[in-house]
Amino acid sequence: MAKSNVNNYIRKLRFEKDELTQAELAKLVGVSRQTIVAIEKGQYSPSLELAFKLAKVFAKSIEEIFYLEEKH
Amino acid sequence: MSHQEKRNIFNIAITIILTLIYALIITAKYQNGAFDTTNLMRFWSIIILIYIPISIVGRIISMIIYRIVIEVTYEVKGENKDDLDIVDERDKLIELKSERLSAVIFGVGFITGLVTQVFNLEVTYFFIALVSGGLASDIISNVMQIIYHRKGI
Repeated sequence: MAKSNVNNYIRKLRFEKDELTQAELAKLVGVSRQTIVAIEKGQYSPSLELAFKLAKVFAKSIEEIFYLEEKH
Repeated sequence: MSHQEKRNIFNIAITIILTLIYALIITAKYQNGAFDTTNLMRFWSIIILIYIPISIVGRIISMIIYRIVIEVTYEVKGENKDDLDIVDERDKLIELKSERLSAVIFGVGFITGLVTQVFNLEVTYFFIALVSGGLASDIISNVMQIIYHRKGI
């Protein structure tokens, strides 16, 4: 399976936000913990709706959480 | 291992067990002469029409048992049960992708069955291809879901 081109800073942001666990974050945005794990590993690119929910939790813009990995 | 993966493994096991048990019962009945096999089309149609409700009821019962067992296991281990009821966008996407593959495999089974009829083979071969396609599509769909859950989509 190819890794997604969209990467993110969720892991870093979780630790900055009172060491929020993956399970807690999953509950806040209404997905399973496995989905958070997959997003953090770059194995899954979330929908725009989920990206907005994550942005709301961290009080950041989507661009501050996700970035496009350039492949040469 | 996530509970989705456990459920997929359980589904594969149930599919194989149900089909095997049904095949053994039908074979035993066939050897005892319980079926009229002069009209093979009718014989196979009856076998498949009986299997469909048996398979549905068997799956419903097994899923209820699975749910009870998994709930008790999570309770005993003190694990978080929240994830058990969540079907999120990633799960739906994985399901869609695996179902697409499942439909393709079933289609291949059906076409293979039609090809056997083009070559004037017995109607039994048509149904064997159809049943094999159905069984393979179900198993491969679950295997693909496990792979997608583990390696990403």
